[in-house]
Amino acid sequence: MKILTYGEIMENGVSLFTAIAQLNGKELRVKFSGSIRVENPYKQLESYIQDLDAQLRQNKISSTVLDFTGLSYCNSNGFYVLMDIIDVIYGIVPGGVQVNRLSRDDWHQETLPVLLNLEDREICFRTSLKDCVEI
Amino acid sequence: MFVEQKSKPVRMEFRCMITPMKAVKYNLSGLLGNFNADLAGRFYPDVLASRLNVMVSELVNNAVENVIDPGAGFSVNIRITESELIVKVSNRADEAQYEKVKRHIGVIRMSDDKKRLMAETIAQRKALRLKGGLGLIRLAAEIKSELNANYNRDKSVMTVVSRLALNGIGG
Repeated sequence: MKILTYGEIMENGVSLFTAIAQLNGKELRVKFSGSIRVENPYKQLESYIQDLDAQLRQNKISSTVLDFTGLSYCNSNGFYVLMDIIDVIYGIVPGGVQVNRLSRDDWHQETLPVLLNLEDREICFRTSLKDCVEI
Repeated sequence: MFVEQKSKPVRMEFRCMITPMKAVKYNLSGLLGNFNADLAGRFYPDVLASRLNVMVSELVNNAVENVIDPGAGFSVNIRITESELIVKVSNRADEAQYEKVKRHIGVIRMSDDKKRLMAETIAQRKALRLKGGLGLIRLAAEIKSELNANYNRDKSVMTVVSRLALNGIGG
């Protein structure tokens, strides 16, 4: 498994949120962990999004797993950042996208499908949602 | 004969006031949201604690976005009864700010499909690169809470209320 790029939100020296993009053969795995609570998440994630865009264009990838199960909280300011990351991935990487989410969490069940834009037929066709139970 | 008495359900009330608002230099909404969720999580199911976290975080953010007097404070009032969870956040605001929030809440309340309203609002605001503006819609669409706002003209204080029917999840 090769790490393509890594994004992080830190506050007072403490890591609050990470987004790690890894390549496993031809499969892209992006894992989101922690919580997004800061007022302007772009400040710390803008370069990550740019780097992710560049890395995805340089590698041959045929499928994607987006793992949100480690994301415990996302404030409404974080919605746009996650959407930008999702847009970059869907826009560059072809093939199916498996989205891992928590089965008993309001944000994962109600809001995440909106941020994924599952009302778009092409996105919906490419996406499969996998409900996971928090251990 | 020994008859086991049914224990009374836990009730929780929490009030917090911070003055002045300009002293807030860090992520207070997150701190208050996490703190109250941790506290409620000791007495109530996780789902209630998690919803309380969202309610406190987004209402405090809303108050921070509508400050007219950074020298004034704001207050948070949380109450969990047998049937509902109520979060009220009050802050100094002028009448124009109150009217703006009231209109916004009116649009949310009138919407038959709050999830679609959230999706459309996100799409519009994202296209214009506008910051925020989703917190109150989120409370209605994501956790199905009912929103209200009222204004005390004498004190120029706006209160935004988020109310959530527990439907048995309060334990």
